[in-house]
Amino acid sequence: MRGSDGTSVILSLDAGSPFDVLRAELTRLLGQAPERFRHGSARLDFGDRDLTLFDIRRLVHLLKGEFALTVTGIYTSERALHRFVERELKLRVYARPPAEDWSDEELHLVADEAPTRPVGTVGVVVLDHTGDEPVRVSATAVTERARFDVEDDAETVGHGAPPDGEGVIEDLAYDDEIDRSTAALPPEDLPDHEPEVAPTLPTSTPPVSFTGGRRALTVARTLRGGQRVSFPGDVILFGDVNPGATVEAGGHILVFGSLRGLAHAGRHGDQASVIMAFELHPTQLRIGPHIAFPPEADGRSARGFRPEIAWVHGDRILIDEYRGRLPDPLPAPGSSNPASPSGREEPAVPPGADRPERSDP
Amino acid sequence: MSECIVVTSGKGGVGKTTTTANLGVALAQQGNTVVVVDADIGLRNLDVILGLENRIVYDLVHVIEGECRLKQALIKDKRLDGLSLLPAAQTRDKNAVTPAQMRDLIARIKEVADYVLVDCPAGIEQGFKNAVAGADKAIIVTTPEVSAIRDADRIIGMVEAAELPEPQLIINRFRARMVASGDMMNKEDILEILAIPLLGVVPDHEDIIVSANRGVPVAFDEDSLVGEAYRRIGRRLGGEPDVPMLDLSVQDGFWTTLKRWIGMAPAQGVAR
Repeated sequence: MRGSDGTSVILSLDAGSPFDVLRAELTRLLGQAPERFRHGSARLDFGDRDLTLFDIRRLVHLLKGEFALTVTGIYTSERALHRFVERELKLRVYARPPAEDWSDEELHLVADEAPTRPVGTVGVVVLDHTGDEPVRVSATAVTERARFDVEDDAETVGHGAPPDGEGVIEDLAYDDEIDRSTAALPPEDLPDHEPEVAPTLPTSTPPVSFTGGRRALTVARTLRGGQRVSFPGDVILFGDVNPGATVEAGGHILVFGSLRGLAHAGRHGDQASVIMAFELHPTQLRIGPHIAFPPEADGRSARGFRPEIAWVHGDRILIDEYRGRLPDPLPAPGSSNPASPSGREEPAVPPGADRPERSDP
Repeated sequence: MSECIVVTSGKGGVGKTTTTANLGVALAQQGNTVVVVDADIGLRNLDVILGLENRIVYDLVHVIEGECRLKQALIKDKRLDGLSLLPAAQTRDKNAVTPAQMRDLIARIKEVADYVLVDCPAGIEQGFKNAVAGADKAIIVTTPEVSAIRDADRIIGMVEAAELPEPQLIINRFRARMVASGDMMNKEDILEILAIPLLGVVPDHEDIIVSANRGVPVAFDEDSLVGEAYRRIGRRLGGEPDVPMLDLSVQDGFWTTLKRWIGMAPAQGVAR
């Protein structure tokens, strides 16, 4: 992989860190990198990271816009994503590179504040084909705030107090925790569960099928600021999702209450996922790779329950009153290619940051 | 059957310390033995609000580290039988104490008091964990501002995580006139988000600033509306849950009524 000046960059992202922290550190790190690392091509190394199409898209735009790096492929061990990444993002998928082959040139970045525990590392692996040996630069990201968020997430899981272990990242253990409570299928089935990640559900079959082997997590509580629920299948929540709280699902999200926080349905790329709530006043909605902010104050006049549903239509998220069935038309397979990194959006603005259309009857 | 109640909010500056002091006074006025504990180690204020600053000899950290007996550190309020203060250390920080030590300390104080009120520091770190450690229940203080409510929501989640029962809410600095004109969130909006039982609403008033500067909690002042609000909250806490809420609806003066009559002022809104 050679860029215009013969440089190729591999960015490796530690599995345990919150994505936003990694992204921020990456930006800082690349900002300090020598000029020769720019204007090249890059591969993203996600390792064992639980990544989403949304995250990949954001990174691709960020690297293109800020550092003129063109992403040509990704390394991931998450098999379920391969097909989707190749088709939707037009990126190649590689097996992980043998990192030990490279010479190390380590650069440690420490935050200005008091000494804290590291939350994760961002590895920027730089392959310079013009020199004799590839050069590898890696950095340790130290962020007090992130550490807290992560621990707090862990608390909401029901682990009780956060573990005493130094800098233990607990949020990835979360899915397992949930699995045990609801699982009908063994947890390891899920990443390979084809209909979950394939965007090509047959249109004749309703995408919601509670009898068809999909798994759902039922949560009977209100999610308050700082709390997070994440599940590979569908999520059904009896309670509210308050501002600052997050619900993530591989499939649908159904909130029997008010959704005021962030909801990400179809986080592994399933664009047929929907988000439904009795009151839909989210801070942000994400479905698959799409992101939408709710309309500006459409009035708090309508107090009381008026169930609404959000779904993907073409490359936009639409919101409408729920009329007793899933909205029509359903996302047609391959009808659009919204996830392609066409460069329509600027990296400064989240991809697809359009206001959702609220189609009135 | 003594009880330890932690007063917390997440956000700073919403009136935790003022609330703790006044509820302490209100509960003591009902004949209870009350100890108010300042858990804001390093940034103590409760002693100032209570006007007991110059009587501090020993503090909470001294008691925990065994440098004095609990009784020596408790400062009795001379104005009111039954009220005493355990002040925070000013020269140490939150990490001087662990949650386990706090739990022991609170258990010891509960032996000599009907009510222990703990003034929690702002934030969600060690100080918060210490303050909730020995508590039986929590009171959340918020103001009708979006930021305070966000933080209150987060703190409610953490109180639940600490396995305390459902906390109760005090809305502080409430301005009925601003609510009536739509410039401030009303009670219902706040309760809809936080979804916990309302213990009381305290109006915003200059009395609070004056009383804080003088070191005389406003609950001592029989003529003050704010004092009355705190006294009623104290009664609700002290076993009379049905004490009616203070009427905070807007009472207009003569000129406003006249202006409205001739159409120069907006129609009357009623604070809810």
